[in-house]
Amino acid sequence: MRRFYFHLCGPNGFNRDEEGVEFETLEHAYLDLWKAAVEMSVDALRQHRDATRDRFELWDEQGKFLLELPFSEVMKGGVLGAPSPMKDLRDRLNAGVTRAGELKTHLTIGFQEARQSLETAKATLKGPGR
Amino acid sequence: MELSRLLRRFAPPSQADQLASVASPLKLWPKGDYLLREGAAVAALSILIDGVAQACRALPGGAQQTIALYVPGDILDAKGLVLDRSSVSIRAATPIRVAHIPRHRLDELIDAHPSYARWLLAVIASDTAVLEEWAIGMGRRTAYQQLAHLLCEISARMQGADLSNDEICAFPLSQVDLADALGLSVVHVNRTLQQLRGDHLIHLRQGRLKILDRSRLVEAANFDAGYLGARVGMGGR
Repeated sequence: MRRFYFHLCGPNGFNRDEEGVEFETLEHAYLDLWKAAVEMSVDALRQHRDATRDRFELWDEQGKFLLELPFSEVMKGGVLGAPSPMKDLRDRLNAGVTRAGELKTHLTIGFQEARQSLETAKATLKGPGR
Repeated sequence: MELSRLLRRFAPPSQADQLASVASPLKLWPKGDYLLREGAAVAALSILIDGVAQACRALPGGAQQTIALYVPGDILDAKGLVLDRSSVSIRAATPIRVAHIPRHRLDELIDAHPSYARWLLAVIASDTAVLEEWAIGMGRRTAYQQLAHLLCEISARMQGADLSNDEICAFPLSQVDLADALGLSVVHVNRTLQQLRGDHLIHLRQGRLKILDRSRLVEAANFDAGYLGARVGMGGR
C-alpha cells in the first residue's frame, strides 16, 4: 500500500491534506480521486456553489507532485461521456512532470535572483573604499 | 451473563435469560473474516458480543456497499432468519465475539411463546429504521451532513452498548469502511473528515472518536436519535 495526499485548491485558497489515504497503486488512487471530484462537484451544485475553479493536486509520500485534476474537466467528462481513465492518467502524469520541471526552473531562477540581490546588498553595505 | 444483559435491549429479562440459555458457546472471528457469505443459508441467530461487524453487498467492478453496521448487542442480519438465505455478507470489521442461537432452538421458542416472534420483529423493525435513515442520507444529504449523521449515530449506538465515555467512543472503522457505508469515494470521505475537524466538531485518531461540539455536530447532521429506539435505551421493551 502507498499513501497519497490529495490537496484541494480553489479560489478560496489551498487546503492541504495532512492525513492522506492509502491505496494499492497510483491507478487505484486516481480512480478514487476522479470519483471524489464528481461527488464534490455534485455537492457544490446542490449548494449552489461554483466548483468549476476547484482542482485536486495529487502528491506522493515523498513529497513529489504527481498530477492535478481540475473539477471543470470532470464536469465536462460528465457531459461528453466518461473518459478513458488510464489514458487520462498517463496524460496527467506527463503534464505533472512538465509542471514539476517548470516549478524547478522557477525555483532555480528565484534562487539565483535572491543570491544576486544578496551580493548587491552586501556590496552596497561595504560601500566604496571600505 | 453478558449475553442476557445485551439481549435485554429488545427483550424483557425472562425472555433474554431464556434466549441466552439456549445459545451455543461464543465464537471468535479475526478482523476481515466473513461469518456469512451472500446467498448462504442462515442456520442460526447471531448476536454480536464484542467488536464491530458490517453487512455488505459486493458490486460489479470490485466495489462493495455496506448495508448495516453492528455494535455489541446487535443481531447480525436478523431478516436473514425470515428469508432463510442471507442477502448480504457479514464481515468482521474488527476482531469480534459472536454468540449463536441455533435456528431449531429459536423455532421451538417461537412455537411455544409467540412473544419471541414479536421480539424478532422488533429487532428487524429497528434494523429497517436505521436503513431508512441511511437511504435518506444517500439520497438527500451532502457528504458533510451524511458523515456527520453517521458519526452521531455510531457515537449514540456505542453509548447504548456502554462503549462510550462522555464524548469519547471507540471508533474502529477506517476511511474505506466509512466510504463503503456512505456510498462515497475514499478521497471524499478523507476531505470531509478534515472539514469536520477544521470546523472543530470532532477529533478522530487511532480508533477513537471525540466529539468536540455535540450540539453543532447534531445541528449539521440534522440528527434525531429517535429512530435508534431501544438500541440507545429509548422506547423498546
